[in-house]
Amino acid sequence: MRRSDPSLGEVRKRLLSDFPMLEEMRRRRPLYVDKLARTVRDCAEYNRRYVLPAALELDRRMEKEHDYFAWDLVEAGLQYRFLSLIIPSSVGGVGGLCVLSSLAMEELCSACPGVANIFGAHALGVSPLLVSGAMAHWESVLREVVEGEKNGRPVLMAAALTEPSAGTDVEEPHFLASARLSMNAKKVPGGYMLNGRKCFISNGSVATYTALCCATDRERPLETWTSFLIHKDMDGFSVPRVEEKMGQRACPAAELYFEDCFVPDENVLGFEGDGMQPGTLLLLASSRAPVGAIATGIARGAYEWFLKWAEKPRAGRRPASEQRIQMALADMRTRIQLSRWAYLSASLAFDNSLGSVLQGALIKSMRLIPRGIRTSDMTRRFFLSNAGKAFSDAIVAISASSEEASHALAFASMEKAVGGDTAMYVSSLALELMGVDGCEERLWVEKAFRDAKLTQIYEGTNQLNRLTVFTADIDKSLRVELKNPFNIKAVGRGVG
Amino acid sequence: MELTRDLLLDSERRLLLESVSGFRTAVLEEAAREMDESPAAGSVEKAWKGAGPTGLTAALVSAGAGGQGMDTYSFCLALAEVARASAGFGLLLLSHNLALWACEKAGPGELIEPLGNGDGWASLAWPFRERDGGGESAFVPGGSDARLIIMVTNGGDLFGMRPDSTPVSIEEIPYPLGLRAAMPASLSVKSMSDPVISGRVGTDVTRELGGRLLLGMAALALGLARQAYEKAYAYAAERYQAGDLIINHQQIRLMLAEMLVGLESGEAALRQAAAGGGTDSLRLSACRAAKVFAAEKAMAATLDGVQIHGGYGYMRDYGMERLMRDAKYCQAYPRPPQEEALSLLEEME
Repeated sequence: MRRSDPSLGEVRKRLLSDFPMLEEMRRRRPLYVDKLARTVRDCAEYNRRYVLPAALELDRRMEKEHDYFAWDLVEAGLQYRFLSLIIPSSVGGVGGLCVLSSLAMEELCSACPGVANIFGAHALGVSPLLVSGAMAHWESVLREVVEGEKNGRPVLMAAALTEPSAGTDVEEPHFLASARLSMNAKKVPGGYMLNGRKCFISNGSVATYTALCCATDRERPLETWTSFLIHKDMDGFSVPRVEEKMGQRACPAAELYFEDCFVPDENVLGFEGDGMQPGTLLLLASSRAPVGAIATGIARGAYEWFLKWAEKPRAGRRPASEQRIQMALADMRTRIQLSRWAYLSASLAFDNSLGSVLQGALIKSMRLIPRGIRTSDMTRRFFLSNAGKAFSDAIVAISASSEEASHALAFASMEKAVGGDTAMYVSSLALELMGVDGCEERLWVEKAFRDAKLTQIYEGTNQLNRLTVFTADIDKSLRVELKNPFNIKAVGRGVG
Repeated sequence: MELTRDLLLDSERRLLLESVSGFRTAVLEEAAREMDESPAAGSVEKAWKGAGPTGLTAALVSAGAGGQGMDTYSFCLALAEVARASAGFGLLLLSHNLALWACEKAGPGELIEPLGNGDGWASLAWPFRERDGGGESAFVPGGSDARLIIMVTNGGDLFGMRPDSTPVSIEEIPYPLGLRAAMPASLSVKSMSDPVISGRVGTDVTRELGGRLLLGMAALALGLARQAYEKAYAYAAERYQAGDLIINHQQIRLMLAEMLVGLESGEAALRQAAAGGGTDSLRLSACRAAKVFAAEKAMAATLDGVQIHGGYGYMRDYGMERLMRDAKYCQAYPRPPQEEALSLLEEME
């Protein structure tokens, strides 16, 4: 750490000042708040040392070489443990949840959301293993990620939902039933045979593992939507194309192609047919708030560059001395702060309900079980069995009710849309006010403007997110109830 | 799709639009992506040569000097059509034509003819800020590759210099967000000594020049908006989500409808401002209003166009994202919208 970098105490103080809702958490769990502050400080240091000197050049390079991947920046992030931020501590991860992930994303994205989203998309790939309670893979796959991080060999993950003719449809249960799907998983002895395509998959071309959802019967997609774990070396799996994007270029968006790709039964995450609910719904409840934080970080970065521009004299006058610029700065600052509070509230809503299954005493107690038993074949077989999967589902059900899940999803969807709109508003207004000034600050804001637009599109378009708010929070007759195998009423409480 | 604007066109303007539309589909659409990504690699130059026979490279030059003598509104119609494929190329045409038009007002006809025939382009440095006997301009379309850069002072004096002449320093703007086919550069001139041409055009011509530039930018913006609308509509009519074509989703229909509202009102404002000719302060005010409004509507339309396309709109091979990037520069050039609006108020007062 450079001398001028803020101390842990200073970062913690700033966090508590910016996010008053963390104060209660600090009283009850001071060490967790320290963990949050440490992560934010690490992100800022990573930005300063590695990202800011490289981001503009990398962005330009990737317009010409769109399939280039900056492994050096990923490797530089290993020391900060960005790949294991949300991996449970029981398997050696940092053990953070939505709040930690969101704070990290905001900070990282204030410099370069393309680089940040490599870690964000990775977390999205980790999440299905968590929310499906696929504990059998925790000790194998998640442990491999953690070990790779320690050994300097990054193991990246991705999540694959979108299909060429179905983007919105695969993120909303009301639409999935009529979706035009191209992928199919056909049951065969010992596993499933996958055929078809997924598109726009962040990290898809560089991930070792991809958590993928598709139907096992395209005539009944909602009932048969199923999560699978794909390894990059599986026969029949290939990456034919990396997209040429307007922004967020450092994080590749790839097309995944499956031709008679055999996936063994043990790579089904949860039960067959659980892919949409609880699978995708829980995934989105956990991921949309961090996406809102990504957008908020972009807005903050644009704002900070714009502020620098506004404070430098031009033609003998500081733009910030003009009332209209002051008003714009104040408006930007206000919206960004509101967006920050929104993503933190949404993140807390998840962590305090569904997230408690991952941070709760039950899971932590796993660490008390000797590792030899936890990683034994018998334990693994138990968690791969229907009884083991039902046990995992039960933990989810104990931790959170369907009401809480809907609430978390609605909050996350609100914040995702608010964040994306804030990022576009701030970057767009800043460019309008800067004019055609060819200064360095403008180059950063232009990049932010290109990067920001994606936050209104991915993780469900903002239009879909608003529909989700309606179905999950306003018209309760449209709400999708979470499956609850043992009809267990929620008794667990949050951690925040 | 026919806007009210299209219904009001006389036969001469219809013919003009057909001709430019042919150039757009035959030359510009194919070259547009390359002109955006590698404008200096020859694609812009090739398209420029293709524009010569259409008369667009001498659109504003008088018939007596070998040009088309096109009126402002007709030229705007042509620019909007060009912008549907490449607003950057449209800006190059706009800047070049205004530079030649100003030159003609200053007198030296011998320079105009070769440039009007498509043999390279001239650039207009606007706004040009005088400083210490020289001056500067932050965004000069076609800058370093221009044959001639025209500068007009606030007092109405015109100077033309070559970009490689000693007092001129010109730097390409690195990696601009939009209008890249225009290859914008920043210009700094140490002194106005030894210009290729010089003359006095007066403040009326200077104001007219500013008005025409604003209207040209409004036209480019409306071309972008129209392209965004038509592409988004076509996509919505074939994309199926949530059990139906998305064109049948009310929210998508609303987005498309708002694009139409912007297009209809923007075209009306442009037509009205162009009819005024921009020769006094009141009409210049109309030019400012039309430009600010059109650029704002283009920005909104292109953003929604990308949004309606979803992930595909964000990918470069669909051409939607370029419209959005170009629209942003249409807002910012030649001056930010707030500054333009404040000038409008001052003029009204």
